[in-house]
Amino acid sequence: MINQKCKLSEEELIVGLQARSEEAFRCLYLHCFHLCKNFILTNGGTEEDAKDFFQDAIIVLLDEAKLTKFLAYKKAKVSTFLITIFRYKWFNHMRAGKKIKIVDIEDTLKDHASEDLIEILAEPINDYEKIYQECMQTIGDVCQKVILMALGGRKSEQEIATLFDWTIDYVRVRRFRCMQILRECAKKSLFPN
Amino acid sequence: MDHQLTQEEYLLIEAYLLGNLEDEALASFEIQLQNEAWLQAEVNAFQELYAGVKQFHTQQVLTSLTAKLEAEGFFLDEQSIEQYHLGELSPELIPIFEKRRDEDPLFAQQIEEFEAMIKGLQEFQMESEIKSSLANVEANLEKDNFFEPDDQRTTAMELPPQVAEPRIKTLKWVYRVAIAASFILFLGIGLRFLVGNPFQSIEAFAQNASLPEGKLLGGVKRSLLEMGGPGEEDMAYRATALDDALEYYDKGSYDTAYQHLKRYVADFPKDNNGQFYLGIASLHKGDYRTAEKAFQMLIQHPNSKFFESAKWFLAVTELKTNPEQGKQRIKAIADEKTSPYWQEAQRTVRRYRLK
Repeated sequence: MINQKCKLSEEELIVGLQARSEEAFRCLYLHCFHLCKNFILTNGGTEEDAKDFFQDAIIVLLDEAKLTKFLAYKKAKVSTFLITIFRYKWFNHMRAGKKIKIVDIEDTLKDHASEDLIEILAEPINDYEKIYQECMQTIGDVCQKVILMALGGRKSEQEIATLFDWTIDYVRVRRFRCMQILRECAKKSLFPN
Repeated sequence: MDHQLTQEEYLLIEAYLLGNLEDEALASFEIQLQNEAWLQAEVNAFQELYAGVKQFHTQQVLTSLTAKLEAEGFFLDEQSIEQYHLGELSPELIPIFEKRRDEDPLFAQQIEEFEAMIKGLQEFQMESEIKSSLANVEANLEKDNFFEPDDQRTTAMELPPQVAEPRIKTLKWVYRVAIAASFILFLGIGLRFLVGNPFQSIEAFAQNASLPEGKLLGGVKRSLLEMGGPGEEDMAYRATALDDALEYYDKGSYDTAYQHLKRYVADFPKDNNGQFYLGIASLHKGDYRTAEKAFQMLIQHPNSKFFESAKWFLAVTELKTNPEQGKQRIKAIADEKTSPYWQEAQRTVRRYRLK
């Protein structure tokens, strides 16, 4: 059965998002997805667009620089910020496709969000999606797990060692090697020549 | 100059970027960072690398989460409820839909509300249809001068003959209400009977179908005489013979008119005037075979002034001789907006549900 309620407080939600916890993401879906979907459906989009743009908005939300600024801002909820990002991305998409004439997206969004929030999200972010989608696939399963556990899931060295039945020293060796492989791959993608 | 990064240096950078350095180690690292260009470059490079890894990780968690939400039916909404109701929901979503309906009271309530709305709409539609039917009936009655006093209704008719007007007196409003009420009663109770026994009803229609009566044929003789030219004498005879027959017809002596017309048609089988009035007189008399034969002949001549009328009366005749054929012919006329019998055919199709 669908858990219709998010049990996390705002603080817990932020910590959960920083750790990429599924529960935190689920809360975002429960709080904001249907609202975003209705917005997109009444603005020329489809349900599939809503799903795609919602994921993209979460990626933007979790951009280190933006999240840091947002947390310092302290005047809005995460859900408000996410919805603002979602609208911003959709308007940009519509403008790019020349489906609507939006001269100034920031002005359009001012009806729904504060200027501070708009300023935060208007900063460009690096889109690593393509590069890392490819590179993370090429470094092998073990390296992928080790890197994700260390950097994404914030698992301790002891937890990783237990999982793979390694020593802590070997966890460090593998982590270093895996990062070198990944770095090489990313370098090749970014600077092919 | 390239710096070969060691494992220890990497672990230090990692600890710094993940915020895992203790105060003293952090202070020491930051001093080194300010002074060493290679370290700044490495930190920047890994910072970017970490951001990429985190983005990849986020994407993975989200992909896995949306698959779970999909399986739980989270994305089902009002549109899905409508699709389910119409049997248009994709097969893989049906068990998910039913599971969520059974387990999620809020969703079950949404479904109930939707079904209640549909039921309400259907009732509204049915009510609208009845209102529309009544409006049609009233419009048709209005058109037939049903609500006009006797003296205001037109009785004189010119060639080609038209269906005779019903002789009904003007009714007070109470009678109109009574008629409307009877019609509703007819819809409510009689509809099942009609649907179940369409032939019986259309047969009754054929029995009572309006036929041209009296004073319909003025001008026939004149038109025959005006033709003139070679064989003028013959024309004069034909006109007189037909005129005699039609006089009986005008007086309502259909049997005598029928006898005269039969003789006339035997003499002049190619005369459309004779064929047409023989057909009508035969219908009055109940000689459907003769009527059918006459109208059949007339519908072979699309340029004849009797063509459209012959088609209609042939349909009426065939309801007696070949009911299925007759119904098909009425339906065909109901599709011909140019036919002068189009409205009558439409009304008949609606009334007797010839679909």
